[in-house]
Amino acid sequence: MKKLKTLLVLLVIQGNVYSQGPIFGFDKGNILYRGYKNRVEFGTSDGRPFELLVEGGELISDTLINEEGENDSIIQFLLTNIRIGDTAKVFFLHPTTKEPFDTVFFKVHHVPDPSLYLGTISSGGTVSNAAVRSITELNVRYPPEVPIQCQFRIKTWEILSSTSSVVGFGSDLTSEAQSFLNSTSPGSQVRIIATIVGSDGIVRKISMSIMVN
Amino acid sequence: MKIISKHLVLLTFVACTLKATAQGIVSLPEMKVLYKEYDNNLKIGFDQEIENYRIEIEGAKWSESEKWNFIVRPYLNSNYVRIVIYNGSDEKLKEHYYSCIELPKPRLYWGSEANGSWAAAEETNLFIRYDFNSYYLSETFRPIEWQVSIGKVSVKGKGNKLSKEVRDLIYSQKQDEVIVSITSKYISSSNGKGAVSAKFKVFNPFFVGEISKGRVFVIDKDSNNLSLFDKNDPFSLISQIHSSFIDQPVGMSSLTAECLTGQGHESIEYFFRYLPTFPVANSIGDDSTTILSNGKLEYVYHPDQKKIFFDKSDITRMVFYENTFTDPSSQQKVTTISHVGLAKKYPNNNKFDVVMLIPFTELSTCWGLIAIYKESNNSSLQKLLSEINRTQTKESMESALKTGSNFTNFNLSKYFDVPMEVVRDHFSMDIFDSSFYYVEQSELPLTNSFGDDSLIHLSDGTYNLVYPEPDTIVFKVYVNPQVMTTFVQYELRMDAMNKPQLQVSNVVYAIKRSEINYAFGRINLDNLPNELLNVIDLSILNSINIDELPWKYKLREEIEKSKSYLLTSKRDIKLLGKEFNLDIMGRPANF
Repeated sequence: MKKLKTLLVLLVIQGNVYSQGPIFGFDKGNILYRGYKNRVEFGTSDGRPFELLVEGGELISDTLINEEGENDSIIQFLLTNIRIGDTAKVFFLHPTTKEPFDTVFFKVHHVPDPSLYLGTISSGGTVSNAAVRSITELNVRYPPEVPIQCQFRIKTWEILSSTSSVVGFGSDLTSEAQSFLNSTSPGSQVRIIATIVGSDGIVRKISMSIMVN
Repeated sequence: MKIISKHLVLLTFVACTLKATAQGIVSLPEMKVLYKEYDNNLKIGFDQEIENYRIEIEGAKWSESEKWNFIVRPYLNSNYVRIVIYNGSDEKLKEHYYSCIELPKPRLYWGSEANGSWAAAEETNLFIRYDFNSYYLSETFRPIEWQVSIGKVSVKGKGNKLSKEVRDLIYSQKQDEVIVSITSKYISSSNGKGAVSAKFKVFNPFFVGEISKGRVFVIDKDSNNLSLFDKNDPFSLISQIHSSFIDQPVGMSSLTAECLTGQGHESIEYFFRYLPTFPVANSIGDDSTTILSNGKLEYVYHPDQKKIFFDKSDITRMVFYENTFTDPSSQQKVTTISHVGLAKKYPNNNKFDVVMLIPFTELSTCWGLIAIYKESNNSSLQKLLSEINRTQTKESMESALKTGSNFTNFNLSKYFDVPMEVVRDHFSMDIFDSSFYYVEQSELPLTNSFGDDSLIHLSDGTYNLVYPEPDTIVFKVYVNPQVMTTFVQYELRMDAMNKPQLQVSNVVYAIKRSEINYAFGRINLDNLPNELLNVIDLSILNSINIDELPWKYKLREEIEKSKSYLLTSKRDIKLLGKEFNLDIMGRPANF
């Protein structure tokens, strides 16, 4: 078995680079996603200075243009050398004694699978034959309850009815696909399967079903 | 119903002392989401020392659970929650906005499987939870009531465990792919109630569609058909079944320990069939696996095991099931044997029982395991071992024996009833003392696969072996030839003409005991240098063409003269029922 390697990175806090003002963290259940630049901010409950020791990844400084058009310094936690299901750790150290005074744990997950939409219609929805003609593309995105911004691209798709199927590339529906959907008998179920690739580099197969009436 | 909207602004002053143990706070700015009607736990953190602060929260009911920790519960009609932090001089330090969304609906899992997946009929656990990848919520859900439907038939129950009735309902379906719908009501950890539904596909292992229409041929053991029934002949049909299928009987729904012991039969064979899947969460919603400090995976959830009993002893009758199907390429009808049943009559039972059912089509090519032929009189095989011990240097012996001569989990019981005790981990030193002059252990790997030292020096001067995979340790053995017996082992290989042949691949050495033999090692002939290979006289162990095995000719002959019954004929099923215990489809089955 491959030996599990952990990467330890020691960072010294400089000024208020690691947050801008007071912050709120969740008490438990922190998740970091692999292959994703997780934005993080650090602070201490009483504002005392600290250094950070990171296990399972590394912290990267970057800038972000905020709503006022100014550059904000931000920190991203990029997971490296850590497996899904493992725990990444951030140790808060006293700056002079280097003694840790707290540790925050993060579960490591893949970014969640996004949902597939026919135009704006989600899985389980109903569409009329007439309305199908105005739908020109498939979309893939997270439902509102998933708060991260990972980008996905549709590589291939297949639309299947109980008797036949039609395939294509990219997110645009071909005219063949539109006439396929248009000719589907009312009341029947259509299944759409798409192969997508995420900005985390993982290829996923996702699907949706709609009723045509 | 009209929802009363109240955006309360609560003001609180919080005294903060630097003497208390500080907490490190990590905020994930993208996760600025609070769930409605849910106790969201937040911790406050600062980037500079501060003596006093106060916070204002709009759009939620909130309280301070402990120092620096807050419970924030957005109202049902709040679209966002605003939190403002002031310092001791009442200057605004920062304000945060959190979007408010409703709690997502959990999913129903049958074992580890979610909606639309293949599940296992034997799995009994239902779980209701969030997809681990999607949410960081600690909300848990307890199934309190379930309903399972297959077609128009439904089974209901309480709690999170499916009853045995569900499994039996799946097994009784006359199809191998069964669609199962499950609806479960639940209570959440914040006392919310709801219901979730999902559909699953389940494989029914007891449906054997091929044996419902054709003829059944019955062949009894007699002195002329030993090539079918003689288990001491490693190339007989029954030996082939034992070697290839003894651990994988199919379609045996009712042969139970109770039935067998009820018949006064004690030597029952059984094995545990593990479920093909196991839940990724245990019953309290934690991950079902943990990774130990040595990198090994430990299961904290123990899936149910299914015990399947069978009885391979005293087989005196074989039942062959005919099947006719249309060949997809030629569109011609083909009639063949689909399954063979091994049958016996128990002492207190006046009818035969089919105690194992084997797919026959696989038998024509499958010699998955290895025929072992006893050759104790072949002195050249004994000479081989002494030659290795006498002539080889330590290094060349190791290379010759590296894969062959170590004590492996070698099981001769398929043919000779040798128990599994020869596994090195727990062999009996008593046996070794009486049979070996000397046993030397050498060349332990210095590190285990995780890079740790493989030996730990204990305080009393002894060593403790921590190497986790001791199969690769080489043992030197010095054997007393008087107590040794040898076997040769065959493997299925293709010859130059691409025809399947059984060829000698290994020599197996065992210690003779009064009742059973203990295998202590084997030599893989493929790994031997030519000068050692020349020591062995393999002329009497020539390769065997599996197409010419005697049972293949004998079977045709026996079927031609056997009694046959047509499964679609009521009269024939009645006749079969006089001789066999039958299942619900009128086929010979278990009692």
